[in-house]
Amino acid sequence: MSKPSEKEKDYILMRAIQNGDMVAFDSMVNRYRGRLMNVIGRMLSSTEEAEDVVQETFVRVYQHRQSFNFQHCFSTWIYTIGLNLARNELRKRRRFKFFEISEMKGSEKELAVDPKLPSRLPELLEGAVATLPEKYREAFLLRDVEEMAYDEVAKILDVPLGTVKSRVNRARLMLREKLKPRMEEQNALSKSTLLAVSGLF
Amino acid sequence: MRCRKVRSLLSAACSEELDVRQYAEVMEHVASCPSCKREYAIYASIQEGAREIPDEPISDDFNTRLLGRIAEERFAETRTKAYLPKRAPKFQWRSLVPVTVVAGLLAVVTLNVYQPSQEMSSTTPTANTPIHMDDRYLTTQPSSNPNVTVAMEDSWTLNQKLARTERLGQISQRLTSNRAFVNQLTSGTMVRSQTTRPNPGQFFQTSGGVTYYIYRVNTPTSGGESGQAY
Repeated sequence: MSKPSEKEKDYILMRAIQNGDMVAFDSMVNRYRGRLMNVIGRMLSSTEEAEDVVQETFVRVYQHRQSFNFQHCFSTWIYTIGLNLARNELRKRRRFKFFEISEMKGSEKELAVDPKLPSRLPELLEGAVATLPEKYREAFLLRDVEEMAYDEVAKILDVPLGTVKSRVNRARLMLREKLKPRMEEQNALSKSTLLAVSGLF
Repeated sequence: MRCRKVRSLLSAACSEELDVRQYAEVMEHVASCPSCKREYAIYASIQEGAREIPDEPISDDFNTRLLGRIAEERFAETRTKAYLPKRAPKFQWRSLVPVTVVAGLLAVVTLNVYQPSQEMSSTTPTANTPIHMDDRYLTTQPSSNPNVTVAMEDSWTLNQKLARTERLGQISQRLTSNRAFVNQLTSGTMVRSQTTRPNPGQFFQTSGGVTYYIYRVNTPTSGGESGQAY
């Protein structure tokens, strides 16, 4: 007997949640809280706010558990809820435009000249991702950070597949533009990477 | 493949999103072009770095707080289910049909049942109800045709009816004492009223524009022509 796939595990847990099983709900929280935090936390650039949004996401899942359609993927459903809530949060922030603009300008400036910036590429990349426009950021996070398939990202973002591919590609180009000078300056582009690339041929 | 075309495919090549033929062409070019090789290395670093981005920290009491909120939700759901309907019931006019039919039947039955008792109550006066004389038997009929009974107006009071009866009695007496007038009547030479067409066999007299009809008054006590009602 084969082990259930991740999708099947989600369905089993969801059935139990629909029947009022709180242990199943706790298991579902443990399965998705980290993944949601990674996406929503980087969308909002604030751990506290991200936690609130992720909590709200699980509350919504609980509230609407009976309306879940088993024809669809649970992960798509929960990411859609979470990202919608994150977008609402960003929309609220935009009302305070003055603070938002000054914050963005500051972060870009920091990335360019601050010598205290982390030298490790992942941290550099995390800072650069935070400066991407919202639609490119969410596409990049889902595809390259969470390593989701393009069609699933398209379903979550509710845009055509081609649009997702275009956004992801555009996000990578933007990151390359942002990171290239920094990487060259700090020699972040390690020799090992170049050697590895050379080793391919 | 030229550098421009290769660079547009580099990020896809790093993510293994190209088909085998395209991937082979790109890699062949990258191997022979140092600038494209450097670009490829940058994209590869971004891909690698994206996978290594540290996870966002989660507070230790995340689940506890969440389950607290869920408990509140469950409590609210239970209360709602127990005390309030989920949706307001939709009003349907069709549901009124049996009610209307039953109400109509009840109304008909009630009217039929209580009407006689109301009449009874009017004939059996109590201490509080005013006493009215029963004058329904007071009727008049033409003297020439006793079979045709003409009832007095219902709206008249007893005194009006008595006055009328008395007046008719006087006229009757006067007429019977005037032999010549009686002869005229029997010979049919009287002038008929221009305003009112009398019933067949009804006698009348005009005097000064006033029309008098001649009646024989029936009373249960006397049964004769007297103006006394009882």
